[in-house]
Amino acid sequence: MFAYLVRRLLVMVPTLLAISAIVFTIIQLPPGDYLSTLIAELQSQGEAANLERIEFLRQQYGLDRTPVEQYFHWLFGLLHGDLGWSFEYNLPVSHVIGDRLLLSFLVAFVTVIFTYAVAFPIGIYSATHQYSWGDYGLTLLGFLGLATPSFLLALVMLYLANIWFGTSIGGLMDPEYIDQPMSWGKFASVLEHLWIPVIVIGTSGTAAMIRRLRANLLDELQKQYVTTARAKGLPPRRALLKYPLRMSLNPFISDIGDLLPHMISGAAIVSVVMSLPTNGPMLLSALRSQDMYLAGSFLMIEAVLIVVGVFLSDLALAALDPRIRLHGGATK
Amino acid sequence: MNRLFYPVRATYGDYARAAVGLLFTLGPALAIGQWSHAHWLLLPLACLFAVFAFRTWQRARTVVEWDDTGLSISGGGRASLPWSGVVSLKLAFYATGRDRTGGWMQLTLRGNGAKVRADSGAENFPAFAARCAAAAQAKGLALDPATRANFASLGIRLAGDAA
Repeated sequence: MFAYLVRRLLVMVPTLLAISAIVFTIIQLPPGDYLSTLIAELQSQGEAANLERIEFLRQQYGLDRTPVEQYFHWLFGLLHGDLGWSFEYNLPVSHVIGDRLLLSFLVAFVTVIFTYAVAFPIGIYSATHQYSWGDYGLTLLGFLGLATPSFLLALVMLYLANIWFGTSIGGLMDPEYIDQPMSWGKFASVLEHLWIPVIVIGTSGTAAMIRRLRANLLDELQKQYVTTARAKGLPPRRALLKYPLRMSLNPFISDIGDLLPHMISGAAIVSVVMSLPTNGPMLLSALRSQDMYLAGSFLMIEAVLIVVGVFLSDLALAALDPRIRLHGGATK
Repeated sequence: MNRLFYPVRATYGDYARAAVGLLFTLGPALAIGQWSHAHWLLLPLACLFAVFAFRTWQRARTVVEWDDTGLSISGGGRASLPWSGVVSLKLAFYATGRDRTGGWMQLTLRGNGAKVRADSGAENFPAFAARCAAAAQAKGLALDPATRANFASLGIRLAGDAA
């Protein structure tokens, strides 16, 4: 296992280097830079741009250097923990994303818990009661959840929460707590608002997970070892939980790689609709305005989380299911 | 007396991996100079690659000898284990690709307070695996399904396997 861990860690290094180069190249691909976008915006509003000042800023931000120089400057900064400078906010990137990162993580984490807590019992029930009224009813609910656009559900939920519970529209807290330090009042306000985005973001994921868990579990339950276990008198609950459920969870462990980046920038459209102070809308805005270090940092954080997520899921799978699938013998 | 050992060429790859790992972790850690957050990540990783290099060196010196009574290890550590003292046996497969097309096997044998590990890069690995499987069966040890499947892929049939 140790050798496996080292090999997987080693694969991560060139992967991350390649991703960093691709991310930087893609951010550089649109013509111009943040300052030329700014000039165009000022001119479209009929304002004159101070070209000398623009040139000074271009030198100041290092935008006059070659892309290769800029890339290595950025990469070396990342190693120092310096994510660069946000042109749009005129602040270090780490300051800009710091608070939002925590709220994004909170929303995503609670959403994941909600998804698992709702999907697992329903998925297991649907598989073990196939073609019953309960299964049909839950399947209908699942398809409704999959088919309903999240932004539409967001608007409906905001309206209902305001009418029924008096919760203020949008955001993750009442307006008086915005930009205030953390307190019990602020925490309670966040909790009061949190359930709406959690349900909105989690609904489609929950429905998808119910369908997949039901299908995986049905496949496992029809295998001979389950029949044998039942024939030998193993209690039904144990015959379900011991191997079939465990085996049907393998795809979910593989999904950890996709889950982690969603903690940072998932559900950007819903966040825009609901005015959530999370990272998704900020990433969209940074990409639009070519705020290259801010956008690049978001994308790099996501890439790191994907690579780490895949690494963790591979380790978990190797530990849970260390089984050869091919019969070509063992080589090193 | 049969012998299991690691040919020098079988360890080149792991030495190279350790060297590349150290280059990409210790290198930037030294280049950064003054202490920063990155050191908290880079230095533990560098230690991990250093331990890997040491274990590779230790493995390259390891020789496992066995006969009908038991096995003994020399070189990278010393231990002996009679076949009658085996208490657990596990054969795992570590895939290097997600489709499990490449990878290696690792056999872990425990008993008498000793733990013996051998991987499929060693000379005589299939013969050693077959002898360990025979010892485990003679003692009536329960083998998990993954271990059974991996033995089957080596062409080693165990009692209770489907024909």
